[in-house]
Amino acid sequence: MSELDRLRRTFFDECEELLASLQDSVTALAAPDAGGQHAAAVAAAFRAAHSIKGGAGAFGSGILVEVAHLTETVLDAIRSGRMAPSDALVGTLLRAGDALADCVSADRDGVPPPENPPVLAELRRLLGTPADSTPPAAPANTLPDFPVIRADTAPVPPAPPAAPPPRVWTIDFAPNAKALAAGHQPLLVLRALKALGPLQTVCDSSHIPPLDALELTESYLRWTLSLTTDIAPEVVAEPFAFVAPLCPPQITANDGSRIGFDPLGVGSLLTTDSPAPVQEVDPTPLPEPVSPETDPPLDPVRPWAGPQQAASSIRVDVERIDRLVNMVGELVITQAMLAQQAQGLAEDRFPMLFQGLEDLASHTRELQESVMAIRAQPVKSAFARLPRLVRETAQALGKRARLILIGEETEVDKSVVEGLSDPLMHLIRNAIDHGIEPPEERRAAGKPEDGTITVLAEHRSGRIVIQVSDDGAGINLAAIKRKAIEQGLLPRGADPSDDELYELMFHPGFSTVELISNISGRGVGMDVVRANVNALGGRILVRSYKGRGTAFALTLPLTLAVMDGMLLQAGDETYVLPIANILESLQPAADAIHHLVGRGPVLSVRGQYTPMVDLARMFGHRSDPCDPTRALVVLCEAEDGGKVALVVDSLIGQQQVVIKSLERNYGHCEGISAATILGDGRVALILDVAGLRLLAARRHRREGDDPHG
Amino acid sequence: MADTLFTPFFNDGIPTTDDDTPSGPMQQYVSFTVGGSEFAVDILAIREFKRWTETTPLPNTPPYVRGVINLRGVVVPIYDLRARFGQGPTQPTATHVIMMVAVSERTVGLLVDAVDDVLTVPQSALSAVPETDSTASHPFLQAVLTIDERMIAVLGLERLFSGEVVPPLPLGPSPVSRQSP
Repeated sequence: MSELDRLRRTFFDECEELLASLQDSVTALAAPDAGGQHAAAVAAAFRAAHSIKGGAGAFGSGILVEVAHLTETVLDAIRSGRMAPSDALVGTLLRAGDALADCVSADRDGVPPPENPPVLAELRRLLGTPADSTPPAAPANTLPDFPVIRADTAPVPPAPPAAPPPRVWTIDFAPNAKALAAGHQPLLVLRALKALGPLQTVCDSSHIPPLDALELTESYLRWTLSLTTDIAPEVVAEPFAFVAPLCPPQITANDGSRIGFDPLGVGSLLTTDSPAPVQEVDPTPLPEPVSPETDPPLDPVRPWAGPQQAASSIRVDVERIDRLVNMVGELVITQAMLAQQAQGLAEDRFPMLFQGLEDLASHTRELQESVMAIRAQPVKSAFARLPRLVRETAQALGKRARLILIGEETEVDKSVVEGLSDPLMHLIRNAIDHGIEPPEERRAAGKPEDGTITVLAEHRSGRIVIQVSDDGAGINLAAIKRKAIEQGLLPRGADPSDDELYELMFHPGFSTVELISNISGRGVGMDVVRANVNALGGRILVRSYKGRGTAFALTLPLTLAVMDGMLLQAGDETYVLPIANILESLQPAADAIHHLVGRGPVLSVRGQYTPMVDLARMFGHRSDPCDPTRALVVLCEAEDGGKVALVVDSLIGQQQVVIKSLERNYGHCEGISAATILGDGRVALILDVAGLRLLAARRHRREGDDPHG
Repeated sequence: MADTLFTPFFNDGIPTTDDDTPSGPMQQYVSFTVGGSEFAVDILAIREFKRWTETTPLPNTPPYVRGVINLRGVVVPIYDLRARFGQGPTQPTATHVIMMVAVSERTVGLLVDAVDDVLTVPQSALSAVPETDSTASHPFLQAVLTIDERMIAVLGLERLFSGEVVPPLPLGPSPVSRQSP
């Protein structure tokens, strides 16, 4: 990859972050200003827009530059108090962020960007600019900006709206031995300055010693320069960018302005007596200069800009991490294989071998956990689009809703975060569309006019739970039942449980427009939501209270790569049961087993009845029922809280297993969540406890009162 | 890998006459035997051949789904073509072959009795499936190849895997493809 390609890629990578930051900040403007977050938010949004504009000059299209420029100008107007952040303004800025995102992705993929996005006109109207105003001269404007922005230390003021009067800069420049040793040539600096405007050069050569005392590596010359130019101070400082950390020049202007240099050699205006013609001094507090967090460690623009602090984070291609995850997965399988081979050996004859295997097992586990930690991400990124979605959906539907996000920092595997976005958006849209009532209805019901949607993320027993709840009208179960009977999904006169009715919402094609309009039920695309969640190895649970609201809980695995499993035997086959699902295993007494008509056998454990499932029989590995009092029963709890007692032949042992997708080449198989590869290279299937429960329930109903189920 | 992979004997193709073929560009097919009949598939769909290995059965699937195997770390389903054609399940031996084929972004294995040959034929050797053909395999046939009086049925893999065999992918942007193994 060429240097330019690398820069280009870095730019687009950064754009993603900048766009997210822009959106976060603009969204913050919508909230009431308490404690001056508005000022900080505007400053942050401005920096983001400005940075995008800077890079866009080099790598993006004219449209991108223009949208970024106008956005930046509007933000600047807010910052300086010329505009007040209203709801409409925030809406426009969010749409501008959208347009920027569209342009960025178009430019990245090399497709033509959207021509003249409607938000351009909106922005122009806000600014009172005629539509044919010339966009900023991108290359001239952005080239000097770019390196300055990349270090993200001192945000550069926007391009001056009008040319300020020329200033006379007096520059005292004394290169020292260090600068020369680092390869800096004073001549090049002088030439660069000369290009900026009329330059008078006075060289002070009085320090040159007699020839016999002359040190070849010393520097004896110093220059006093006088530059007349109307160019911005940063540009005047530019030629000194690299030499300044070693021998900072003294730069003063005839109006009293002075340019100082920070340790990276970035020049900034320190003081000025003149009535500021441009917003040189940022009125808002800025983040710490040169914080290692904001300084990209692989900064390709100025890798030579003097000694830098050690980076606290690095940017790594996801592909490389995936490769690592795959290799660790293979290692886990190899380790299982070795452990299996060693089982036949006498431990006392090979003590070192067994010690080594034990160490290998613990190191493998630690390595695997470390790799998974690299992939872990806060769910925040999946939540990022939600505030806006709530605003816009509510606005479009004429409802009022606010969003509360809890647990944004909860970490989960990157692929889970990515897969969460779509189902979450769907659930939120549904919550506003069908859950939250119109304001007048809410008022009549004695509720606040603003509906509340809460999205909560938390870790719970080795999984992540995401709950989307609203305080709306709740799901009308009677209407679901009526509709299901109409559509022939339920027999007439059926008496389904609440859970079974909720289940119907996920039936593909269950809902119709008519249904949605007269009940506050859900259903549009709920089957898609469930398919997406299932594909992540997760599950959806619904709870609804009439008049009080509805909650959807998604429980998902923390990682899609590895898990702890219990190997068990059913018939001739080996299956893996996730350890997280196992409550206990037991050999039941005959009087603990009861038969319920239409529900199959149930097991009574300490007063609780749990449906029993003979695994080998249900999976067709054996036709005659097995006697549970002679076999083993594993009591399991599914992610949704449902319990099932699995009858298996024997337990083989506990093992870490690598999760392999069954869906990639085959598809969904009921009762099975995924596959894994055992130490002997064979595939074993991973059981899906909740799926098994449904499968068993359906079968018992079909078989009627077959006592053996 | 010698025990799991082998290369079938490839000849230069039939027919390879010296005179140019005015009947259109040449196409290549791999022919194989299932239950005594000869079939062929487009060579471009074939990924590799593998000797029969025991599969892990998938519960509650039709008889032609033999189960899944581990193909270098990837879980791949194996379909029994004989059973798919309604001629009962194959009793596989060490000489049975699994053809790994790519069907619309998926890799699946087809259990066949034997792989025979690579056929290089002109477009003109292909003809439409006769209307009167009433064999069970008919719905899966794409065309018929006629070579030296022999008739070889060309399988349309998509037809074989439409609908019930390969369940449709979940709708919407599929998170499955992003899933780490």
